[in-house]
Amino acid sequence: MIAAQGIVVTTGRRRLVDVVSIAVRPGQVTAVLGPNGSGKSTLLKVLAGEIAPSGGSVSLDGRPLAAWRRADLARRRAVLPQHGAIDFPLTAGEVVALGRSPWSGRPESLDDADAVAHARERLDLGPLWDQLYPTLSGGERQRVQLGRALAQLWVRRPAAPRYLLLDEPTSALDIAHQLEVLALARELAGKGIGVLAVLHDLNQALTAADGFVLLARGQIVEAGAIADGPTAAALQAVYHVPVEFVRRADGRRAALV
Amino acid sequence: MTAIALARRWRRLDRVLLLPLLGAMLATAALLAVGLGAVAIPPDQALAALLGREVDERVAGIVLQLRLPRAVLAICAGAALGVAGAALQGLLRNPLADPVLIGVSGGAAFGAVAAIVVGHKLATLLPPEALRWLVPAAAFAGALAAVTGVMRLGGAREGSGPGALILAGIAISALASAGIGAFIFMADDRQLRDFIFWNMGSVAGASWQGLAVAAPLIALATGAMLAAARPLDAILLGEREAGHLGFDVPAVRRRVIAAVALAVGAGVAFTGMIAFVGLIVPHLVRLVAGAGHRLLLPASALLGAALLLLADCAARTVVAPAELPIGLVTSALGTPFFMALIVRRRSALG
Repeated sequence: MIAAQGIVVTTGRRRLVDVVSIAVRPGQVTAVLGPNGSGKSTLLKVLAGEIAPSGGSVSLDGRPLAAWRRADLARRRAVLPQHGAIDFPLTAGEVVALGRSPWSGRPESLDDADAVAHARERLDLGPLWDQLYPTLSGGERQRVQLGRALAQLWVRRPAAPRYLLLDEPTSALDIAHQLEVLALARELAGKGIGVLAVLHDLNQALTAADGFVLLARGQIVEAGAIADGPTAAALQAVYHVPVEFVRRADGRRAALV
Repeated sequence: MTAIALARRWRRLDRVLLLPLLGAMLATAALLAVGLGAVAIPPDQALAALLGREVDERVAGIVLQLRLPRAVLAICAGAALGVAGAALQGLLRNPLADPVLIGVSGGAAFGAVAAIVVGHKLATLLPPEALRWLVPAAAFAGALAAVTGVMRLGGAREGSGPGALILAGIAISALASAGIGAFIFMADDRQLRDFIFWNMGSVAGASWQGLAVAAPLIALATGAMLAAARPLDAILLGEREAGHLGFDVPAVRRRVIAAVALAVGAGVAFTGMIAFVGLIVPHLVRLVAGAGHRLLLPASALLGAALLLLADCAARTVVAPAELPIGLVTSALGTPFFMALIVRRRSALG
C-alpha cells in the first residue's frame, strides 16, 4: 500500500495540498477528482516521491518513500506524468523500451523483450512502433507513454505489490481509447497492481474506480468507495453545477451534468 | 525534407556498420593529414612511418614529430567536442545546446587572455619551459572554474531543470566576457593579436608533451560520458520521467557536466576556440543513428575527430604556405548548417 498521512504542500503562502490522507491499495483503482487547481497533480507528485511534502508522511509498503533507493522504487511503481515533449528522434518502440531501464543489469532484464512485446500488444502500438515520437499525435504519445509504464511494471512472477500512478491518462484520447485505458487500469488492478489515477471526467471515475478522493482547494471534500460517492451534494459544492445520477445496467452510477 | 523524415529514412541503414565506417573515415583522414603539406608524403610511406617501418629519416621526422602530433591533437579535440556536444544536448534536452552554453568557452577564453597578458610580465621570472604551459593551464583552469560557477548557480538541485543551468551559463559567460574586456583593455598590440588568434583556434601548437596531458583527460571524460548513456536516454523522456525510472538525475547532471568541462576544457586549452563542431556533429550522427546515446556518443566522438582533422587539412592547404585558423574553417562550414537547422526545426516541430 502507498499510504499518505496528513500531507501538506505549501509554496509561498499558498497551501496547494492541505492535510490530505490517501491510500493506494494493491488490486484497487483509486480516482482523484477535483476542479482545476485543487491540488490533484501536486498530490500525485507527493505520492510519487517527486516533491517532499512540508508536512505529513508517505510510505510504500510500510517504508517511508525517502528510505527507498530510487532504482528499487522504480521496480515497484511506475509514474505517468502529463507527458512532456521529446525533441529528439526516438521511435515509439524506443520510448517503450526505456521503461525497462530500472531492470538493467539484473536477471529480470532477460524478460525485457517479453515485457516490451506485451506492452506493444496490449496497447496496440504495432502501427506506431517505428514512427518517431515527435511526429505522433497527442493521443498516440499518451498511449506510447502508457506502454512505457506497462513495460516498466511487467514482471514474470509478481512477488511484491506494484503500483501505477497516472496523471490524467485519458486527457488526449478519443472515446474508444479512453475506454481502453480505463479497461487496462481495471485489468492491472485485477492482477494486484494498485492504481491511482487523476481523472477529470467524473464518469470515467464512476466506470473504472473502486475508490475516490474528491479534492477542492487542496482539501478532501469527500472520499470513500465509488458505490457510495461522490455524492451529488459534494459535487455541487465543489463544481457549482447541479449533478444527477442514473443507474447503469452493470449497477454502477453515471453522472448527468 | 525535415531532419526527422531524413532520420526515418536512414535509421534502417545498418547501425552496426556505423562505428566501423566512421572509424575507417577517421583513419583515412589521418593518413591524408600526415601526408598533406609542403613535403607531400604518399599514403604508403606515411603508413610505413606510422607503423615504425624503415623509411627515409626525413620522412619519418616530418610524420612523427611534426604532422602526427598535430593530427592527434585534432583527433582528441574533435572527439572531445563531438562527444561533449552530444552528451550536453541530451542532458539539457535541447538539440541546439553547445558546450558554449555552460560557460566552458567563456571561462577558457578568460583564462587564456589573462595568461597572455600577465604571462608577458612573468617572462623574466619563469623558465621558458613553464611559460609554454601558461596559456593552456590558465585556459583549462578558467573553463573548470566557469563550469563550477554555473553548477553552483543553476545546477545540481533536484527539479531545478535545464533552464536554470542555461541561465547560469549565460550569466557566468557574461562575467567572463567582462573580464576578457578588461584584459583586452590592458593588452598591447602583440598580446591582442595572440588572443585574437587563440580565439580562432589552431592545432598548430601541438606537441607530444601537451598531448600527454590532454589525451588522458579527454579519454577519461569521454569514458565518463559513455558510461552515462543509459541515464541520458531516460532524460530524453524528461527529468521527472528519468527520476521515476530510477535514475538520480541531479547526480547524472553533475557527472556529465563535469565530464563535458574536462573534455572540452582540455581540448580548448591546447587548440583555442573551435566553434560549431560540438553543435553540428551530434546532429549529423542522429540523422543516421537515431537519438539513443549508446551509439550516438561514440559515433559523435569519431565523427568530431574526423571532421576536425579534415578541417585542419583544409586550413593548412587552402591558402598555403600560410594557414587559416581552424576555428575559422569550422565556423565558415558550421554557420550555414546551424541556420538550416533552425529553419528546419521551425518547420518540422513548430
